[in-house]
Amino acid sequence: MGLLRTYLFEKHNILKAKLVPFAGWEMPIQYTGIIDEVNVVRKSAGIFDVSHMGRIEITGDDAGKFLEKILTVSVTKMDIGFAKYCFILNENAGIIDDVVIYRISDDKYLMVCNASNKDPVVSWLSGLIKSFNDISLLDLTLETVMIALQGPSAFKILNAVLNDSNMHSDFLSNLDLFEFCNYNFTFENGDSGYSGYSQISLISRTGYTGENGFEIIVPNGIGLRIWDQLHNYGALPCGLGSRDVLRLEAGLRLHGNDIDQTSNPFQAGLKRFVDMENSSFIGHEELLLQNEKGIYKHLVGFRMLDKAIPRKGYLIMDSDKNIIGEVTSGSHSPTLELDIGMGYIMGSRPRIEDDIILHGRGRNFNARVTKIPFYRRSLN
Amino acid sequence: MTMIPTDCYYTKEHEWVRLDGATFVVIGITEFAQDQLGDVIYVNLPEIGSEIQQFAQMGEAESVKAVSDLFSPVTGTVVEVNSNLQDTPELVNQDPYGEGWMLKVELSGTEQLSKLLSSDQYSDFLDSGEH
Repeated sequence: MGLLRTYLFEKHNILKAKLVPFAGWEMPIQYTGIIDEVNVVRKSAGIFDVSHMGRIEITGDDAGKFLEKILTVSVTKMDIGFAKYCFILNENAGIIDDVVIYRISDDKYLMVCNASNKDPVVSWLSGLIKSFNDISLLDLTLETVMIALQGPSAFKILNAVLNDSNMHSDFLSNLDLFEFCNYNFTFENGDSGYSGYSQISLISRTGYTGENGFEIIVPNGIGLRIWDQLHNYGALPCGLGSRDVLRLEAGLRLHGNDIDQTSNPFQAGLKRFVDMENSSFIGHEELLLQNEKGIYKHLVGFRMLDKAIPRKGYLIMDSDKNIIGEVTSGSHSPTLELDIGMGYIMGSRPRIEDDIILHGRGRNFNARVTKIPFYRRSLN
Repeated sequence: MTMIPTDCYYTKEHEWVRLDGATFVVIGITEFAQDQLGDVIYVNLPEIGSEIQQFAQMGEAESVKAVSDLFSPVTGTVVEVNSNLQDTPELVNQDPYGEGWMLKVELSGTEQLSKLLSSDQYSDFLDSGEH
């Protein structure tokens, strides 16, 4: 099967991106270089085409009730105009996907899921929807463009883009973390790009880099215009390579690496994204049980003491060289000038600053358990 | 594709070899190799005095994305290691045929050079898409 291309694909070619297959899509992994792009996002601002991510609209009187069976949060208690990070769990509390759910209106929600999980998520939703009345699922992934604008200059740049076309922007400075605004872009002298059946057009204060920033979801027709404007005002194109490094520095888990159907949110150290008061979600019972029995594996962060980059699949050993776990993510961190990683350790939770040994490619490397996130942006 | 220097020999593993006097060579990785690797973070090379074997593994290059084996294009004894790569591994990306060189080797014999590709052959190899 051929690879899917986002609506911005030609632009990536013009920008000389290096393209790779990713989750069924042909995506830019880098433009100038991964380290350059990480630095751009930490110091000024970058733009990422994240249109490959799944965008599913869920509408209906029972949409909230339905989603409370699917998601680890109480969506009906969410304010309209806010989004939340949460999980879709199976009966064993294994993580089918981690998603962001947006409350668009009383009876309308938008779910953003991982590209690699869109098909399983859609079939999971479709299987469970039958016991509810009149809920519609609309897959907007191919109808919309999604751009992440991330970095300390993100606000300044987006503000300038909106002002440049005399669009209102006063809401921008008041937007809280995980708050969003339904927003109709109306560029002067240009097609607004609104056509088709999608009504979704929004700016949210969300992201996957640990920096301040926004994600913008708009109908395809206007996506290129927004990308170009953000670029013109100084945001530099960044690819999936730097996005992976940025998210790891910020301690953000990646599904398929750090979380999957063999791990649950408690083991992954993500309890705060599970609202146990919503007792209707699938996996709730198992999580209660886990809480009683105690958690038998823990996701931990570590930094390397030896000069080596930890890689997924390297074994983790204690200082007596007993195998205790496995690396799930690793990278060089340009921001911290360290090599960092995450992995699961079986048994009791190790202490911060415990020494561990990694084993990979026939060699042992010294490392030390480190607090997650590795990097936290300064709030000023 | 950038220029492929004509004064070097090449391997299908994307290493280059440049004669330095009658029996010494300098070796490194090609522009194509550094581009595939992306930002190089560590280069692990054999020590001075070690014997290396043509087409056998001689070290590793670690980039942000991946770790890759380095294969020796020649058989001989390592007489010099580019120590600048310890602190500035990005030289491999910036100047793969120059400042990013890796080893200087005393050849065990020059007949082995006939097993390497000329710049034209390497260029054809890259164009063939078999790499």
